[in-house]
Amino acid sequence: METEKQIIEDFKNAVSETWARDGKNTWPVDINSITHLFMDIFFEELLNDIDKLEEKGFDEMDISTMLKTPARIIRLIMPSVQGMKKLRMSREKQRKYVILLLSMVENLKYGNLCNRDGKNIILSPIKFRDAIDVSKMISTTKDNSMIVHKLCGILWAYSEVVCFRAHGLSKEFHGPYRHPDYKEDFLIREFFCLNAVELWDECKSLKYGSIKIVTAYKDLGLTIDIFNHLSIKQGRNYIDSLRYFYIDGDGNPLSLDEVNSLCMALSEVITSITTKIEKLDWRKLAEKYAEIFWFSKKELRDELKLDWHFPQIVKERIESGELNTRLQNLSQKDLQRLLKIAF
Amino acid sequence: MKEANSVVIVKGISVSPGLVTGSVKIVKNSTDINKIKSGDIMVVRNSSPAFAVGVMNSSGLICEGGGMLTHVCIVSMEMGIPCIADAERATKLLEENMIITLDATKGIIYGSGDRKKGD
Repeated sequence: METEKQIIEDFKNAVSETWARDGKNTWPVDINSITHLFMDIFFEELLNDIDKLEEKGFDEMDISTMLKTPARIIRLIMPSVQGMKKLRMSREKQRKYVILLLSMVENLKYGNLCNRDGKNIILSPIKFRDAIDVSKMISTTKDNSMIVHKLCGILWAYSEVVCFRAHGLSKEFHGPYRHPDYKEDFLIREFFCLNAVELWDECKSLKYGSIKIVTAYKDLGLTIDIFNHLSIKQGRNYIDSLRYFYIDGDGNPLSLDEVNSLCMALSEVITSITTKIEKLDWRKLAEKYAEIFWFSKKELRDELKLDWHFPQIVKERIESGELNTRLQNLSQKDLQRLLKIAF
Repeated sequence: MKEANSVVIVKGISVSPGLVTGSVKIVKNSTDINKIKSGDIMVVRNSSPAFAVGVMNSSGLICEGGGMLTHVCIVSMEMGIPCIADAERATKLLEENMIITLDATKGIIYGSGDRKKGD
């Protein structure tokens, strides 16, 4: 049994290792420079929502399940810490709430909480066998592998367009899993909220709300970090290592022609949303970011029969506030130093 | 390696392996994506998801900033498109339509300064 101190250290080490490899993903606006405008309000409301749900008889496992995937909760933790700091919570309190969120992540996982073994194992061996349908598996050729991975790449970009850096909301990559009848490693890439019209009107043109891509790779040396980033052995690539796959759209198998059409449709939505975003100033982008954060806990508000949108005060704060330039474009060294002293 | 493309222009870190020769297209915004054709090597300063559409149509990607987890580089890795990141000053050192060889396995860009005929 790990102590809370060990869990916190494990989490911080996992975040630190990912940040050390991270690029400056500041599109469309540097998240660190705007969180002071709303994350305190967001986090207070999240705690209130959890309290109210508990009053209604839901336990922590029920509430975790409402949030659906570990990636969604993991991506909320660091911005929530910013909110706690703004609320001037003591270090002990911050640690308590980080532990609460990590405990919610743990409820949704079978494997190591922070992927310290390089695996993101959500399903037990039995649940994994139930979750995949081997009768749908297609043997790979170079051509169909390219189509499968074109979809993987374009969906990755799409999830970022729709949810910015909170894209844990819209995707979860899990594995590698082993199946008794196969020698390959299985990776499941799941994408959700593809037609999140609550955030973007443009999404309504998509035919599917969710896509599940089941792949079996040979000798890829696949690992997954705490933020769902995939890494593979130096010199390897997904296309040549793929042996079997299938793709479901809203639970139904998709043909390669349908996959190609989907790639085109996703590209069109990406282009139209990014063109719109390029015309927005930082205040409008901050507002959209806030909207995405509030959307990420919509299921909790729906259960409470409350409006999921951010309160008016967030809009007012953004309109009268300024960017936090002190936290803009932080170097790797700065980020690591801040993480060390955080909570 | 052709002798014409034997001069090292820029170095970076390997993200997605592969060797490709093509014409440089510098992409600054989503509108620039339209100029990418098969065989082109896309050069970007930073990451935007809009660039994924260009990556899909290109033969290689060079990212001036960032690292392994820069989002546009992750997309190129998923699609199996040769890619290097952290190629310092690439958008300055490479010119539009210059023919280059991208050795994304070693993280090196070779060139001779030749321009594509007709451009």
